[in-house]
Amino acid sequence: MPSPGDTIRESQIWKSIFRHPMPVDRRNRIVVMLTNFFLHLHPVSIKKQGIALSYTWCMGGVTFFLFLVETVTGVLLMFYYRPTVEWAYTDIQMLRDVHSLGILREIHRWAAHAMVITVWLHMYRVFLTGSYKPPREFNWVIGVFLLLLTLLLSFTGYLLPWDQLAVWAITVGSNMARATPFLGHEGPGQQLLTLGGVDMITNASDARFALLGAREVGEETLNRFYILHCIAIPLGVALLLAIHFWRVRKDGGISGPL
Amino acid sequence: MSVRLCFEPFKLHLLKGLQQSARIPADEKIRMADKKKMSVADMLAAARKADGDGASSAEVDPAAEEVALPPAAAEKSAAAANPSAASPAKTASGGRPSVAEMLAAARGGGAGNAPAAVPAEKKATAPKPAAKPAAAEKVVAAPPTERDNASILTAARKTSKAGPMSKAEAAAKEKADPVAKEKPKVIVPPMPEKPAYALPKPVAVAKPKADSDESRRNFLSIGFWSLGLVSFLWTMASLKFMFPNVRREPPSKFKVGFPDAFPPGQVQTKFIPQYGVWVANAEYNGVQQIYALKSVCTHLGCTPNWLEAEQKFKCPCHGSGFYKDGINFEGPAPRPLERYAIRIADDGQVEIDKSRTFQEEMGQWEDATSFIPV
Repeated sequence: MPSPGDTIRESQIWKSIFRHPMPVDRRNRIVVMLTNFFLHLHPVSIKKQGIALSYTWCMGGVTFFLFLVETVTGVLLMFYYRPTVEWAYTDIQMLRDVHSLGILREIHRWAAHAMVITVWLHMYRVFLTGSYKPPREFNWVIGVFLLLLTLLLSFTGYLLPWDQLAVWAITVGSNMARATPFLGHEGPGQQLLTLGGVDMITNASDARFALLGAREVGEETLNRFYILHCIAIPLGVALLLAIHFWRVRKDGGISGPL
Repeated sequence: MSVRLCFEPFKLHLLKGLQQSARIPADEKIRMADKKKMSVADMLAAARKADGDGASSAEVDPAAEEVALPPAAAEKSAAAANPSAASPAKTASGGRPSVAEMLAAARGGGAGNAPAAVPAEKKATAPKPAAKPAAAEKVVAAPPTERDNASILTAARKTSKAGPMSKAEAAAKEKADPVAKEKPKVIVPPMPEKPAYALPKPVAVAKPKADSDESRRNFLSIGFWSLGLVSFLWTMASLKFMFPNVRREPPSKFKVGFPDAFPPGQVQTKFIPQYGVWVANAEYNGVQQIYALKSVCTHLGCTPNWLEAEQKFKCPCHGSGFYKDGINFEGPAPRPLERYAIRIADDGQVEIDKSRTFQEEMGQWEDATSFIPV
């Protein structure tokens, strides 16, 4: 009589998911890796130095892990957060005592801080080991955009608690956009963009307005930052992450000592 | 090389495919490279091996030793490469041909075959590293003008190679001139017996590997079990997260005022917006009572309206009609409206509990908690 494990492994359901036998020999280890969506993200085999922590610091991996943490905790937080002036602040306050697992909010916040740190350390390591050099120079550029999106995620997330710190931090932060060349209404070259003597770049049509959705931080800003923080920027990050990882593989695998 | 390739085209194809999609360890690549390099000499050696001469196997080139050629194919290839040398050698000594035999074969076979035979001989007596058989051939085959036996012999015996000598070359030289290398015998006194601490420990060799395997397995086991446990706890906690400690909906139990606020024959509709309930004081089966009707149509769940002029509940969705006591009489509704639990609270007010409902068709309206007798 076959054991329950054998019965499961012989069933059509199991075989329709896992196409190959247990990875007990080299060939099956390879095909199992190649035919599994999650496993195929990793190469079948890597150089021994590829797992040398003293060389890679695993900072890219830690950053990706933190991104996953942010995604999971963020989705859970969205269940109880309403991005309106009326409710945003109280919803965040309520996470402390009204809901179990209120620690999710703290995890989301601390992981965000940690992610900014690790993404910088990752960049620092890549710079120190010269891993930005050909053929990896395009991946460095993608990494720079990922860094930018990480900072934007932090920036937009900062407003959502809707407390005094949040409102004034975004007010100050977005004031920089006033001075954008040509596109900020207080920036250099702004006066050049006129149409029939009428300024095209005003405080209601400049880069800052595009960011805030209003002339001052307000209800529109809250909604806009919420969409940016929860949907728009994470989508961009996910796309660039996919390309980033793909290029790591295509450009010769994880970099190691020469 | 061509022999090798025709035996394993599928394996090579597979390896090539894997090389493109995955990565192959360096040692395997080197092995593949080795296999491709089979000179004429290698083939000869392989042919000799296939003939069953076990004694000469130590001298056979290592690259050729790996290949297990079928005798027919090997002989064919060897004959094709060097037709005159192969067969006379076999007949003369039954095994590997000597230098003299090779030379004789070369002489008999004509001028064109001589260079091919000599390198083969040289390789067999003094094997070189597999990577450069071509270099060895070049040394001998370089002067094409020397065709007489003496010069070929000289070339074969010549040890003009500069630089350090390999082990194999040294051995060959010693063999050729054994007397010069004879060393004086040295009589060594026996060593004192080793003390206990200096004796090799027999178990220490095998154990570390088993131990490291064991500890790795334990480490991974602990790691994956804790990962699973943490994932499970987080899943459970996330599930609990879906049920907040505080609900923001109206309570299911509420008071609607004293009984005398509901005069006989009246249907009170003012609780509909907040609580979704009609409180009526009317006759049911000839008994005057106060009861709470649930404002959900029993057809598809719309909210009917109380039409005071027609003294009936009328659903706007599909036209179901209910009498004042909640019994259906027109339209698609299959059964009467439902009642909520109702009672006189301790302070004398009418209290309705929406967590319990009573259905007429199941005889539940006889239940004392479904009405207040007047």
